Amino acid sequence: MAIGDIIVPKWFFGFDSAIYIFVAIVGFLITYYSYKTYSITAKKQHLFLYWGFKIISVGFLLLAITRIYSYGIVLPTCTDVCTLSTSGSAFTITDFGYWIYFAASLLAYLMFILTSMAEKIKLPIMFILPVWFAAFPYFHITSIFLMSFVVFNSILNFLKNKNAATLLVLLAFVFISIFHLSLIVIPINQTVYVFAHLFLLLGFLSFLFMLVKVLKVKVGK
Amino acid sequence: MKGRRSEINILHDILQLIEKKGGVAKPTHILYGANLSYKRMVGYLEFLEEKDFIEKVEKSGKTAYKTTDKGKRFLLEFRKVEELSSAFGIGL
Repeated sequence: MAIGDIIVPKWFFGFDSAIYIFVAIVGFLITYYSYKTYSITAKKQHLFLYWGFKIISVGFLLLAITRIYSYGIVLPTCTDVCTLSTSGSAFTITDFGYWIYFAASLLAYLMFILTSMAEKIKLPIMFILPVWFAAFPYFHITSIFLMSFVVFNSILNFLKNKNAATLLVLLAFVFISIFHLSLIVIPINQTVYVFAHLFLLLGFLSFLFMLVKVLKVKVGK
Repeated sequence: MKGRRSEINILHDILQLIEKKGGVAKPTHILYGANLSYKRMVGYLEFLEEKDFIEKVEKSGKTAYKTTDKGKRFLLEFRKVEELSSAFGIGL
């Protein structure tokens, strides 16, 4: 599947992979605590949360690994700006990394939607799957579409609870949405690629702060 | 699923109630505080005792229940579960 060329400033090479690894670590941490929570409550929503973070973490980890491999090939050939070409006819390692990451992210966002919907609506997942699969080539647009539901639910949750943890989760989802929104315009301006990744980093930093805050609670507080 | 949810909440309520009574509570306090029938309360207390979350002690010559360290740890874990769930908008 052709993904298109990804234009990256040379100085930023490596930083993006480091961000993906950080994202995966934070994701796996939330995965662990979501599973712990599920083992106590046996609630479907906690299971969706667990799978959502697990899938997205695996996606980012694979993307980081394949990216590091791709750098070895591309880096010696570029000057100020490097192009990761994924539009060739051959299915490369770069394509593989992106394909897994795209599929993992979209599936994870679906899980996040189901996390907030599971109790209210019994929506069979197979009714949603063909929608994202059909829209697969337009990854970032599909992501923004899915994330808009997640952000909307997070806004409602924040307005209902008005505490730091709900605000941090809301900010995290907003930053991830900005990350996708920014990446739509990379072909126009490659500097946006850097900003987009900073938003991704901010998103998962928010998740990390939320987790630290949650784990610091005391009984009866 | 709903049954299990309410069950976990009841167990948490009983443990929290005992803690609020200074770590030791008589069955009558638990009965009214947790809003349970006597039969159900006995069942939950037996379960909590079996899991080492509470233990029987003597208080003013009568049987009372005391939270164990394991019970206190469960209360803390449950608080974290509540916080994480609330952060993502998941009701318990």
